[in-house]
Amino acid sequence: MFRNLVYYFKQFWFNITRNVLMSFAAISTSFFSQLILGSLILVVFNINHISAQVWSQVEIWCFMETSNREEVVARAEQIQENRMVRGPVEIKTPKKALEELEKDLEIGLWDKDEENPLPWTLVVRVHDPDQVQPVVDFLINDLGFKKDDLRYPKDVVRKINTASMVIKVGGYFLTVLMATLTLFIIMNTIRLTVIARRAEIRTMQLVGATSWFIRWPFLLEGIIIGLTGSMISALILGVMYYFGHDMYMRVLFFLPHPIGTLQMMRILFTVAVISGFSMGLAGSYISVARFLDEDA
Amino acid sequence: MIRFKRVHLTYPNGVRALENVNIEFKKGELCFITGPTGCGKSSLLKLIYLDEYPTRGRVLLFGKDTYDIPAHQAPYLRRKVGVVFQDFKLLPNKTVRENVSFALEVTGASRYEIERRTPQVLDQVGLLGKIDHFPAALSGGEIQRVAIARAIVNEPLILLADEPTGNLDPETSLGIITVLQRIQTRGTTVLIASHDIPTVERFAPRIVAMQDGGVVSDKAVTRTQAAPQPNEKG
Repeated sequence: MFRNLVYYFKQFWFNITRNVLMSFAAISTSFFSQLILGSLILVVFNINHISAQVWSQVEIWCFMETSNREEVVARAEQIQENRMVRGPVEIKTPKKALEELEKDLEIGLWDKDEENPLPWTLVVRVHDPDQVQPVVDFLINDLGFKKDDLRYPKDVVRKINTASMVIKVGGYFLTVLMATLTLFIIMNTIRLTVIARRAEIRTMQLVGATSWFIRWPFLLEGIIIGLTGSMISALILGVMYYFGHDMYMRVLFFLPHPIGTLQMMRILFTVAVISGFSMGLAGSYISVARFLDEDA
Repeated sequence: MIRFKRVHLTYPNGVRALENVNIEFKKGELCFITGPTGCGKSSLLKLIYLDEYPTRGRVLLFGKDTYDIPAHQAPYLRRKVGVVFQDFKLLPNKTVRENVSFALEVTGASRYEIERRTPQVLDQVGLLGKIDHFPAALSGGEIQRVAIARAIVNEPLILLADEPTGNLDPETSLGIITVLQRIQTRGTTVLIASHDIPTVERFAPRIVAMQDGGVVSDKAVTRTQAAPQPNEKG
């Protein structure tokens, strides 16, 4: 196997250098399609990441009419029984609510001697943003809360959901399109190399070369073309993301944070290795298999 | 070693190349297959080196029906069958050495084995002096010898030569046949397809004549006088 490896690499190098222009064209196409692929992944992953942050902050605030602690706790326990509710229901005393409000607004709002006007509040969290409305319905219909006593993000959640869904579906569609394009380009490049070496391959078959012996140098070529294009694109995207992330964190720090540079680099390079390798391998395998089948 | 049983071969374009061929070749035999162009000589050889399969009948190779040989095992069987092609199939961008060692490389032979066998076999065909030449720099007879060297470098049990003396002058033809005879004396079965009647009549111990895809005669030639042993190398 090892001595064959030397032969495979020699043949691979011969193929690449014999048709430098075509190899360059294939690497460039692989690079551009992987660049688009990587950009889509970058956007889709960040949308998911930001959506997850927003969703985790989705809360239903229930203002209580009573100021009896035991009644409030009993209510909280009733709400807790609903399976859509995530974690314990948080009980916010009027005092705590006031402190938080003052902290958020950075001003003193109320004279300590006066009675606190804020009500007892129950903070309810759900597993999924889609569960907000059913939980609200449950609070109104089953537990008798008034609609005006409930505060929750109505359209925001739906809009985020729709937007992220559109971006995700569009992203997946474009990803498949780009992957197919890369596959075809690599297939075509390898096919040209195979055609250029048709006579040699035919002779190889007739003197007893196995199909795998013939196939390996072409597979190597496909893999190297796919990987080179994808790694260069991942590197460029990674550098661009580094600067973009840095700028975002300086200017838009108050918005939900995007994925960190290091984590994004890991994602980009993992995707680059997997997609570059698999598309290069698949493209070259298909084009050589067709030829070997035709001439078998 | 090779047996044809009621073999028919029709190509996809409808051309009937072989019809009801029944013939057997034994180990270590030297046989000339002769007949006019298009009579089926090359098709007969193609069935032996598994480039074609019969449309009817059976071809038994080393006791196995070629139809029963799985596709992935065909290459291993081809290594036991050396072929000198009518159009040589030498690679123009490779030297004589590379063209010959190529047949060893594809079998996964070690570098040591390749470097030992290649000059050895080129010496046998008298081309050691031109080991680093490209095919374009060789004469017709020399190209033929390179093709023979490549065919025998794997030490095949069967050697097939398709018109090895075609377009060669009588003296060069004599040299080629001598090389093939020498290979046969080592126990290799040598089948030569040729329409070079003078050469066939002069050297063949067995002549199979073909016409219109069928075998019309199969005769062993008894010689009272041994064939001349040429010492020409050109």
